[in-house]
Amino acid sequence: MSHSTISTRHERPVRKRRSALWRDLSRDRWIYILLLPGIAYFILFKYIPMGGVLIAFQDYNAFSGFGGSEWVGFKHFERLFAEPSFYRLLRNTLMLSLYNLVLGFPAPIILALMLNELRMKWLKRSIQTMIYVPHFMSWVVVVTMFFVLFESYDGLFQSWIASLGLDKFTIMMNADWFRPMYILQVLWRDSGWGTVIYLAALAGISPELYEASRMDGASRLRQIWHITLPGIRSTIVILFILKLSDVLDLSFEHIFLLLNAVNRDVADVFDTYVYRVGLLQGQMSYSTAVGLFKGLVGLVLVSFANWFSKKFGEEGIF
Amino acid sequence: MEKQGEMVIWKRILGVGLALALVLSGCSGGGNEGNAGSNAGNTGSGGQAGGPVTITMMNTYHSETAPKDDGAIMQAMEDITQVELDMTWVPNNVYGEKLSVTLASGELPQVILADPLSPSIVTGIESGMFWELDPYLSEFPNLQTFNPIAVENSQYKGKTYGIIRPRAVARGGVVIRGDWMENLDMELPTTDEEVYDLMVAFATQDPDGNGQDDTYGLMSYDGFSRDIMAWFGAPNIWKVEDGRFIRDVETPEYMDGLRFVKRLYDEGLINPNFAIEDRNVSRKGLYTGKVGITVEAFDAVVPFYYSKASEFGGSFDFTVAAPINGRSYGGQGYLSAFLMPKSAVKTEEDLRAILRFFDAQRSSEGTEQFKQLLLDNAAKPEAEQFNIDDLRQFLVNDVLVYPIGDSETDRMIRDRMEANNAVAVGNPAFKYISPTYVERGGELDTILDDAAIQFVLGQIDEDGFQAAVQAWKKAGGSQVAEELAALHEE
Amino acid sequence: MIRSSLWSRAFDGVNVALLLMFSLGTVLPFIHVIASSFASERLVAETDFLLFPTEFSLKAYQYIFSSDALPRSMGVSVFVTVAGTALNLFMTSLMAYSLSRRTIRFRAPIMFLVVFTMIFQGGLIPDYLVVKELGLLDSYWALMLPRAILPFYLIILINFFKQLPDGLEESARIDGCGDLRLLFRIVLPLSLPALATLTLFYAVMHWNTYMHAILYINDMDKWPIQVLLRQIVLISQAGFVEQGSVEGEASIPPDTVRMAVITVATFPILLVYPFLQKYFASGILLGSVKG
Repeated sequence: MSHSTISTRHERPVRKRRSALWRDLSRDRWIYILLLPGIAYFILFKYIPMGGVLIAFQDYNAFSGFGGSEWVGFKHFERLFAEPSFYRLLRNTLMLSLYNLVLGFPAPIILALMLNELRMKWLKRSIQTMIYVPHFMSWVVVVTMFFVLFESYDGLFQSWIASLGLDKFTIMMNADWFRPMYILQVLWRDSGWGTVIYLAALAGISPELYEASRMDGASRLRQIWHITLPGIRSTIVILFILKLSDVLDLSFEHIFLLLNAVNRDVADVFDTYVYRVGLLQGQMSYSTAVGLFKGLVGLVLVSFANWFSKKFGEEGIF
Repeated sequence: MEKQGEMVIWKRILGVGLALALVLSGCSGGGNEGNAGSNAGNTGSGGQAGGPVTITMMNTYHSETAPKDDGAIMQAMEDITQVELDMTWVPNNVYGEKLSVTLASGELPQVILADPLSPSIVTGIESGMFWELDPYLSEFPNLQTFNPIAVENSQYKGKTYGIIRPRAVARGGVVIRGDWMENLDMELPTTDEEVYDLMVAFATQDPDGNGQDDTYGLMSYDGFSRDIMAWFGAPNIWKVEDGRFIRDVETPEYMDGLRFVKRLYDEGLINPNFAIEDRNVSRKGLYTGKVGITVEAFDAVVPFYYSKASEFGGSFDFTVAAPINGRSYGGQGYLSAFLMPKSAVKTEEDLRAILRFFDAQRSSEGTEQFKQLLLDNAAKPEAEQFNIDDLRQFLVNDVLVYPIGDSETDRMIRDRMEANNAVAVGNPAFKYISPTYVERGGELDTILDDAAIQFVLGQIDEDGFQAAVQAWKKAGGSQVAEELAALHEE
Repeated sequence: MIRSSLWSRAFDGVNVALLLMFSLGTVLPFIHVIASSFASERLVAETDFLLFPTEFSLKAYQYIFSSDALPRSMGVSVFVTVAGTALNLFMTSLMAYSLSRRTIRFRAPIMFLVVFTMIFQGGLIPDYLVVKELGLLDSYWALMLPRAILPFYLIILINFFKQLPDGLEESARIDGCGDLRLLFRIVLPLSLPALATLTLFYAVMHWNTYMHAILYINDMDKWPIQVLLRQIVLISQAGFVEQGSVEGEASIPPDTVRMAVITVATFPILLVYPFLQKYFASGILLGSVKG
């Protein structure tokens, strides 16, 4: 059937472009058929529920539902921007995101490169397995353990400090230490986990390339620079763009557990703020508005990064 | 089975349009009717002869796993009240999320557990989603015997919408290692100075007699207990003076209390990490013999510390001081209530059947049976006991408010609770809902809580604290006070 | 030559030393968890960072296995993880294959719409309503279908597929190979490292299923292990407890029990990776094709 359609269209030059489209669609029909389940999934489970973000423009309450709740326009956004702590929340969120991007993002890459240089396979595998273990500990466990080790008055670290004749040195109740402590815990917990994807990408690099360069007498660092890194470049670019999409979404549980009266000035972020004012008080619409704002920032960043990477010869995502 | 399920699913997926319409246009009203209809089938026999009534209920659990349908607690509850219970148990830390999706879905169980004055429930009350109970309560004598203070605290605009879960009104007290006190030949403290002296003694005079300087005075976690402020006569969060609402932090009495805590911190009598320490970590100090005093809900923690200490092979002795300076704070007297949504409880008959269930729990036979159940349970070896916390979740009988046992500890706790009740100062704002507080309460409380801790730690001085109070007023504190005063006048 | 190999050896030495230090730092806390789970409660309370249970005790394990809650929820988790991951791999591969073909039209807008869902989500309630309207409530499907494709992993897989050599497709076409055969006979077998990665990611996602289970499933017998794990870990966490309530004192489990549950609930998923590791080496095959 599709064949006949194509031939008839071919006879009419006016419809040339359309017929080209039809020809492509027909030739690649299996590609599109394979795409259908995925499209259906995204419509059903992503785009239909996405209507829910509209409650950011309502005074939503569960009893009236989406249809019955009152529409209030940009009221919740105005409130967010007028919030005295808005600037502080934005600054803190951006700072932690920056730490995540500058330190948290490259760490798995460096680790993966280091692992890639290991020659003994068993050692490589054992280390891989060990460094991804912390990812499976919930933040509650991580933070509690950190507290007991470093903060607890007769704990290891404090006893050691005391044996040196120094005063108690607090990490968790010191605003200056909050960001370094936060990122160290993130690095400890998640950089091993992050290597998995890069190791998979590294597996795709042809060993012959290394052999050839070894023949040329290239040093190990040169090999890393000229072969290994280019081999995973597109993975790095894509992960970076994706990372920007949720750059303002910080791990709520982690920060919530570290947050206290002393470090709130630097540790309070949008997510903890929303928890305090929104979820505890049942202000769905306001929380959604804050989420929408964070999303818009993410969208702008992703679009920019995507455009930028295309400009520099990478494929980008879309 | 699986196959069939799959078929159904794909059929449903074809009905995407329907889902879309429902989600976007929110005909939740229309949707509800149908769903509620099928629910109502459960109560069709509502209270009539011919088999026990089935009641569907959503509730929360604090223990590791929820009570089983055929477990001791459920069996006893169904026996005593003569109903079938169809429970939806939800872990306590995600109950809020589950409640909000359940409310949104419109498929409510007949009985839901909720704070009757929480913002989302109040919206429901105002739009007539829940049964008002006052017209029916007269038919149920046992539902009229709740502590009137607690009932009043749970009412919305003077009307009853929920059957409350009773809790002791005044539970905060000073729990002390009695054996340490005896070792040092000291008496139970009655004033703040005596509490202070006892803490100093515990910290410096080697109360455990091990020859080492390894003990301290007061255990505290996540900040410090507000009950300490009561000793100095500070109001219970709010007080009413000449029709105005005054927040505790604005009073000189509160500052006295704050200075007292600061003194404890400065002199090293309190665990130095009190501001951030997790309760689980802090409490270890108490049952491993490093600290001898805590200010907590003593009816709950004394049994807890005893059982922990015995696991560690310690034969400790815990005792509770009478209200310090003769003062103490009172709580709401209840923790959440059971509300009946009209969409699931269709008729008055159905409602009566549910009220009968709660009434039966509180009847004198019911009380006797629950008492017996608890005594039998306590007599069993620990591994076979059920968890009292589980029973507490759906019990509206007062039997768990006070310890029921006859041991010396139980009697001591009962005595102290009564002494506390007698002097307890309530919070006049419990029963009012200030719109500003609903919107900004989290932020407002945080300003004050942070300032108090920063003051104790010495990061800000009294001027700094007063500045925080002013910031709180500006951020909405004053407005909350005005709104409360207006509500109070009504 | 000699100089360069000396250099090379020094490089190796430093590299190995650094990696060993880091892996020690990551694995010690887990050893602490395991050791604590096998120790007496007294020892755990008195030692800050227990690494070896000098007072050995199996009490915690006896306790957690005394009811059927743990084995049953482990069974649920294993089932959901295996079945869910299989569904994920199938759905994600199909879509990723299509979107990785160079001749496909509208790729950019579709990709944008995919990325868009990573940034904006409807939230708990709309998700719940969709699951409810589809009649998935109280079935395991509710834990699998709504997460059949994760956009993030989809994009990663597309990226991997795109890196397969171009010649592959053409030569397959000349051989008269259709898209279906191309996908299942050539593309997927050549992408084992990527599929192994995705298997791991999806398996971990399913293993950590928590909130969905509680929201979508009322029948407690169908709850996965994380519900039990988090309940036990969080009971003692005052910060998460309902404000002003002093409920649950009688329920706080000993530390040893918490550690035992963490150990039991973490071990199965930890084992997935070492098992998958052998597929990470199969890129060699890919390399030879490319060369």
